[in-house]
Amino acid sequence: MLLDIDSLTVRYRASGGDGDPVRALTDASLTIEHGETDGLLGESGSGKTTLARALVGLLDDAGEVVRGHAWLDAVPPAWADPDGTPRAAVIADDAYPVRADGATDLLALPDEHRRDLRWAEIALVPQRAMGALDPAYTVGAQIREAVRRHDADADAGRRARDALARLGLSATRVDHHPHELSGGERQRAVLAMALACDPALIVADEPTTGLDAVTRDRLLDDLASLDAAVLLVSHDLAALAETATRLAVLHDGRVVETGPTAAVLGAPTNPHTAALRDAWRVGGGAWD
Amino acid sequence: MGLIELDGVSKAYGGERTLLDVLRRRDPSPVRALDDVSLTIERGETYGLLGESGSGKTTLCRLLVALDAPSAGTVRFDDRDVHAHTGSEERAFRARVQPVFQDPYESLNPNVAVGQTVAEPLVGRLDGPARRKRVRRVLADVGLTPVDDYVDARPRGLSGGERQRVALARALAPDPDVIVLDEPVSMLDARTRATILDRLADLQADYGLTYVLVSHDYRLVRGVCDRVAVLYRGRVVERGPVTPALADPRHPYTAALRDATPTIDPTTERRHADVTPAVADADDPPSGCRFHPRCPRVVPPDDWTGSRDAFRRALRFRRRVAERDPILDGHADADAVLAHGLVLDLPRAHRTAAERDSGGTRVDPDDLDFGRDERAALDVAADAVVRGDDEAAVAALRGVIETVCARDAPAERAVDDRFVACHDPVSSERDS
Amino acid sequence: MTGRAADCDASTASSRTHRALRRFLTNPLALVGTAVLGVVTCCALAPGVVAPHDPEWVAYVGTSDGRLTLAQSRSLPHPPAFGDPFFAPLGTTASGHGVLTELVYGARTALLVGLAAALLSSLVGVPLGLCSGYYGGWVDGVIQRVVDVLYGVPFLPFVIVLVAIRGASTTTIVLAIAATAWLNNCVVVRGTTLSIVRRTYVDAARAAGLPAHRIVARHVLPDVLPVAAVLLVQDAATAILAHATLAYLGLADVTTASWGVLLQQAQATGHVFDAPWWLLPPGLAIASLVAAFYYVGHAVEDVTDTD
Repeated sequence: MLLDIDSLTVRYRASGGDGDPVRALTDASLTIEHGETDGLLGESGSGKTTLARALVGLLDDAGEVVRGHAWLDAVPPAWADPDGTPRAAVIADDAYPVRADGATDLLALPDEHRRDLRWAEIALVPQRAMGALDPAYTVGAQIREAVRRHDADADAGRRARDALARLGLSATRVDHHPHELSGGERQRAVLAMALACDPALIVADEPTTGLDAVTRDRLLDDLASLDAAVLLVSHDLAALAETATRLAVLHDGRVVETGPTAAVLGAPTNPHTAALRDAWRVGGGAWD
Repeated sequence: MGLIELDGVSKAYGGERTLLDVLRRRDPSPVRALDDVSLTIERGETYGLLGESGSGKTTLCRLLVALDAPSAGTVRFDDRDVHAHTGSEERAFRARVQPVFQDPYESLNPNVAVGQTVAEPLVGRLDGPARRKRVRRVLADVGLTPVDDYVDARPRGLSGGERQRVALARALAPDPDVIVLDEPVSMLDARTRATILDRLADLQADYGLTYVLVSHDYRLVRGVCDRVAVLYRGRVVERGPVTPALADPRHPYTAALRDATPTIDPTTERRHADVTPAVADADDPPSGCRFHPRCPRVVPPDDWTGSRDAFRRALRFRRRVAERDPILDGHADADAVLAHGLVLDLPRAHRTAAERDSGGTRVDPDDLDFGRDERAALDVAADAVVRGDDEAAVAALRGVIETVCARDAPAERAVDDRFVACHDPVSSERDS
Repeated sequence: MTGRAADCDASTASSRTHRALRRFLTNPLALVGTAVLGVVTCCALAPGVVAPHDPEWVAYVGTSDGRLTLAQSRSLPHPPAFGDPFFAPLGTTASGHGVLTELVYGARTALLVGLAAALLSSLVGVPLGLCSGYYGGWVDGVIQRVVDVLYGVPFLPFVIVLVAIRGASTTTIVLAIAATAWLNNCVVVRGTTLSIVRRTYVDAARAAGLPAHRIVARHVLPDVLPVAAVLLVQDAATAILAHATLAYLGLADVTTASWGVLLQQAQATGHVFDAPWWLLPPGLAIASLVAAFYYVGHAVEDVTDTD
């Protein structure tokens, strides 16, 4: 098991300090296996972005993790031997959020260690990622920077070029600035940035929003072909249906259904899932 | 005589010379948002304009409701040129053709009450009491009930779905003949989408409306429209009854849209579009057919003996040479140049074995089906590239790697109960 | 996301005004500015009530026709005196007029010039800016070319020429200030208008057949007026300063009491360094009034911006 999310509960303090805190996520649990492409389906406001950001420690100031664990099958380098196995002293000591099987609780990590794992083991490609590229630097420079920050010894240039090629971007893009790329290319460039760091898990939050049909088709095809595990967070039912092996459905902050994609969509046990599926059908006529 | 007729409509932006252009001694190239669009919309139908961003669909919307005027061609409504209206004719026209815009958060003035907004098309047509009565009626028709809760409300507290209903009520208020809907549900969540679409269907029946539905959503257009025109970079590539045109297309772009559109049935084998993704050269549309750089059916010259796939790759190679693409740099020999230069950015399902093995970076030129002379020309060009002699490389390919698709914009012709603008349309469902 | 629109009526126009007013009243600088403006307005409206003397009052002889002795003349300009030999809390000028009296009577001119110039400037600049922004095309082209040319005209030489032609009068000064100030109004209002006119709801209003003047009234003006109000207030401040400067340079009407003229007289009679009671009050008055306008204008900007 690569990632084991257990009863994650997140709340937001209402702005202004008055009013009850809003529960964005309540007792959310799901698991992701190595190399698997999993989907998290939910409408806007269901808590999916909160979950994605909580995993990598990027909740904004108003958000806090109330309880829960996110066990990642990796250990911060500071607590591991050179070959990656966690040091025995670390496992024996309760003060470290490391389990006997070597999994680390992402949510209990101090910031510095979580940063070490971020990108190296788990990478988040946020929503509207195209806006995440710095317009002042070339695409290649930004990818190389990301690689170097997390693995100083790596051949950053080669990794950048390979990642871009992997996502179908021409090598020319390395020397281009973000504004010289189309929207779809920028989205792929950000994904390439995550890929270049060679993480075990990529969390992609709404990666297909705003993309034209063919680019979207390509992007999903590429995501499915990656060696890394992918958690695809989206409201796009079709994207998940064709790409994800397993599907979790999020509604109002709770995971209401999980299982193999075909089962969840083919025979949903939960009314919210059924409603989402039916609405998707109606939204385009009954011909399929 | 259709209710709305477009004849050779073109719209270009930015052709005016500025001081900078005078200093640089060049003529600015205008962006052709629409190029020679002709189509007819009949009364009572739902006509789809299917196009992605950059296709010109928004521009076309604006022309249909006379918010902009075409650079060339005519837009006729009820047999009158919309942009040659006198003042009173224009007033009459505006009551008969109304828009609903895409963004429900931008199309309503946040400081104006809903009732006031909905009444805008009625100002000067109905007096105060009649206006109020009409406003209440249309608010009820779009489902914003109890009406009293909405008439004086500001948009601030309304959901996206409610706002879009307000926009719809505004469009309905003057009892129009036509409503032009620009992506009416694309910013709404799935369930709201469904209810709005239902409401639109009911209203069409009750009011006898003609809809023009502009959208990028293939599924929506196919499910909802009677006839469709597919737009690509400002041109109509295919138009006709919706099921033949979209389910069994003759234009490769339409076929790509169909193949790229998912179903949620995980058991069906998905066909991915055999088309390269769009790249950022929107300001410099290619000559001839605008789709040809991406097209799987790009037409080889008559004396081409190799396969069409090989030709397509050769054409890509020729463009890379002409653009001095760095992907061709730094190789030791001609074979390596070709191995990288003949690559196409396609989904895995359409890649060659070598492409798949190399993660999309290389092909095996010997695996591709070129005629002997054709391959010879490619080798000469590749050698020139290795030497750094770009002019020689370009020259070697000239005359050999040519296509009518790059020279001539295809004219529209009638094919199998629809119209297609393609030099070599798909001939049937199987051959795509 | 609530579907009950009735619950969300918290943002009606009048409650927006209430919120704006409350924010304004809790801004300390705004209150200071308003207070200063209040005092100056009182002086302008009822100078006879506020000033210790009539404008004809002269030291030692009061309002009678008497003449001063040599010793008395030599004592002018007289420093502040509180009863002995006369009542002049801010002293007198070289001609024996009470400085405080002159100050109070000068308030009227200051306010008049400020408001008149500002109003004139807005009355020209705002409509032209609206037209420029709304219609675009050649209308915008013509107006902007005029603006570009006039921007190059330097203020002082322009005023000097105007004064040479029309003579030095308050009207001339007001016209001169307005003639240069309207440019900024026009350009700023044009910018605001342009950003509004691009919005989708304006397109919808056009498509609905709403005539141009109604579109401007309903959709453009509500956002333009606060901007124009701030510009108005700032123009008033600039106008007062400009008028004072011109008066100091001798280009204003010396027969009308004004703070700038007061300064100019101090300079002309050579008492700049030895009669601080004469020099400082008008200077401080000008500075305070200008600052007051700025504070109020800034507060109005703050208050309308966050809406």
